[in-house]
Amino acid sequence: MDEKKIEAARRAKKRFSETAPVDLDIVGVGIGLSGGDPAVKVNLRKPPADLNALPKSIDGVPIVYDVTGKITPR
Amino acid sequence: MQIESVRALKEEIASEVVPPAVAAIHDKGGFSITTFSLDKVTTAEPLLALGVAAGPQAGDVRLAVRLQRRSLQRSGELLETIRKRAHNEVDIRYVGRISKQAGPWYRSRLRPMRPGGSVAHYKVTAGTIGAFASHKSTGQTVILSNNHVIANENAAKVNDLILQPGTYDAGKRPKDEVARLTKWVPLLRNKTNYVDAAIATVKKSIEVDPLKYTGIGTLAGVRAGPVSLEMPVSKVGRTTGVTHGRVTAIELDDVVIEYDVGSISFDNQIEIESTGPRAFCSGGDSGSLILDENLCACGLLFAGSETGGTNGRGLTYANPIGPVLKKLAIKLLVS
Repeated sequence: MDEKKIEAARRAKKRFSETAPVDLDIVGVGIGLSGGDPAVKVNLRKPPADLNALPKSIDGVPIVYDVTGKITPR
Repeated sequence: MQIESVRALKEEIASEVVPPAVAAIHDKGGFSITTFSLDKVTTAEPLLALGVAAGPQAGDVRLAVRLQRRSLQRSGELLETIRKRAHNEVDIRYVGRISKQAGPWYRSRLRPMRPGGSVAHYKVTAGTIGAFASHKSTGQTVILSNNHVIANENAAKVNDLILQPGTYDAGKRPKDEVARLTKWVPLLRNKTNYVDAAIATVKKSIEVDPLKYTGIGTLAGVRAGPVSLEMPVSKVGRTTGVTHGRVTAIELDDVVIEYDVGSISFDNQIEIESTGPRAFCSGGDSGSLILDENLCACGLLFAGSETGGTNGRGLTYANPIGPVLKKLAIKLLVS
């Protein structure tokens, strides 16, 4: 994996966390993949009111949303 | 036959036909018995089971009779009465005694103990033995699992009893006491957490087989570098046994886990999804060690979701193994 792209995803992840919509029910923000390239992965407890209204990328790094539901100890 | 008719027939046969037939057999000397401990005697006597079976045509149903006694099978009168009442729309079979299926090895009592087996604090249902390690200050062998498995989400006390198998898997005191709780990393609300981990010192009389990850291989060591995206991983756990997956996210922050004590947030976590036909983990797999493709330890499984992931089978969360070992001051027993 291209370390420069990972580093760009790290920066984008930080920026996303600082600017994320307040009504978004986030249960995790990390570095995932989109089409084989590093992306910001955002896990949501419940589906957003309008997925299309959410940012698709940040500083050129794609953002992937995943509705995981609640996360519990196993 | 209509389903309602079969249900009514079941009631009728259970109340009117079976009792006199059984009484007649008792009058003639009764059923034979197998000799076993009185402690195991229950009041339920295996006789016959009634249910609904598929009929000869699509959408059709008929009465199902499953005989658990040869004496009943030989009772021509009983079977003839059932056939008559069901207008011959009946499927009668001898099935014999039905016993509880033996559970898989990982839910059973394991001596020597090995990774992947059921374990728990005596007040917790069951989780998984992730690994065996050496406590750096005492040199003693410890079980590595989660705080919520062997320290009861901070509610336990040092020296509390640890059972193998866990109580949910019929672990009992004192015969299944295998270890004493030694140390745990507290789960903190309103603060960032990094690991859900705890250790318990194994009793000297209990043997362990620390390296054997049944169905996967022999633990080779601890992964030197960080976990990477798409990396294949595997685990063996108390509920789903051996499963395989791949890393779908790294450096995951603000992972909110809904514990009994409330929501707790974790940073720098690993996310995994299954590459097999089932979810990578389920309840009871907590504490499982995550192994990379070289059979090196890379994570400690602690949480999961029911949905999400590219296959919709849910996602699994694990603590990176480095901070777990460091915070508990332990060294994994490796070959």
